[in-house]
Amino acid sequence: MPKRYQDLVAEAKKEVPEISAEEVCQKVLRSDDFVLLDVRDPEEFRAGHIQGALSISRGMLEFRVREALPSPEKPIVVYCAAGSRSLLAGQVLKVMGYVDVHSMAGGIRRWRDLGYPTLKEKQMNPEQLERYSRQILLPQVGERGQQKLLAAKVLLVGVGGLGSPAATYLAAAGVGRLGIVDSDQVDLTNLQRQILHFSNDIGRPKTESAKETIKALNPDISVTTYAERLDPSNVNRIIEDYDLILDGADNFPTKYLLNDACYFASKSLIYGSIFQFEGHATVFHRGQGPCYRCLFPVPPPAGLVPT
Amino acid sequence: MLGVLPGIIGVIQTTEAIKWILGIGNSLLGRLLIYDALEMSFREVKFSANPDCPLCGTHPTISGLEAKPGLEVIICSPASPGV
Repeated sequence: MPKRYQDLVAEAKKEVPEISAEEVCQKVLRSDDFVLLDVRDPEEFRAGHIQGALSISRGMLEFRVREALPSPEKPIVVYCAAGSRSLLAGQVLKVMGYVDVHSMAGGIRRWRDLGYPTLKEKQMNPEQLERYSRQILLPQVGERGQQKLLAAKVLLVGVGGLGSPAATYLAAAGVGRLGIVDSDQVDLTNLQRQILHFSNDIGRPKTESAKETIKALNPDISVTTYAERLDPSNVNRIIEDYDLILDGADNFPTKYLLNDACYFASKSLIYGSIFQFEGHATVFHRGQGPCYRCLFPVPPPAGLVPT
Repeated sequence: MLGVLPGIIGVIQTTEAIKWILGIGNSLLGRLLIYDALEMSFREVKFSANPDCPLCGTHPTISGLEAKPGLEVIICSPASPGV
């Protein structure tokens, strides 16, 4: 005899133990030793979810859960709107080998009735969801990761050989706010590698042509330009607004200055340099590892130019 | 230089930036990644904080941007290979 929805839920209830919203709330406040999994649709998740919850909709569960939750021993609490979908999802998780699965009774409705807090996410518009869909699909990115990218502020020091591909991919990925520092004008010899600038940009400030290319690629991105050379008097003012600094400078004084300024301001610095056929890259952050001066205490002799 | 070289390094830096924003993966903190385009090889040098570093060492001599000796003077110093 075909089973009705109620029968399926009743069966799931026998297999998947329930946990009260009150108990979940205590656990959420106390421990990281379990995963809170929201199996509602993305729109429902965005409209309000429990802080720290992972979002995998019921429809995508079988496809995405293994990558997002590689350890089958880790306890999982599943919730949905009212507690039925989470039971069905819990059943699937058990079949897939997850050992410790609970379903939150009454779902987020019960959670809200108890006056517990939920988080709302700023909605992405349909065009954004489509534009970034290929990376949103990655469980490590998801809509929440895309929101982080859209909210991020990255400063590019130099929009030459290193800064051009960096700005292009950051803008394409939807990194919401880019700052670009460069005091140079576009020169014919730049065009062989500085792919943000085109032939008809020759003679224009690099900040302007860079901004134009970035905006054409992704109008979502806000671009702030600094057509100045970094020096001790302006560096703090310029870097302070940014979460992360990308070093695309073509000279050692700027590289050392940037290292020192980022160290004092505790900003993460992503370093890159190139010479002939060799390229270097690393990351510096105060207190989490060495700095540029640990690596190269004094600049190399003049003539060894980084870009 | 070949235009693709800064392209590759710039894209590696960008990968690190995106990972940093997303909070995923292992970063290059403490590792210098070295790419050789002719050999088409990547190698990695682990390095740790230098206790004698004039900036972040145990007895720093650089205490602010203004107090730093003139960079143009340093850059002409004959000392040290490096990059």
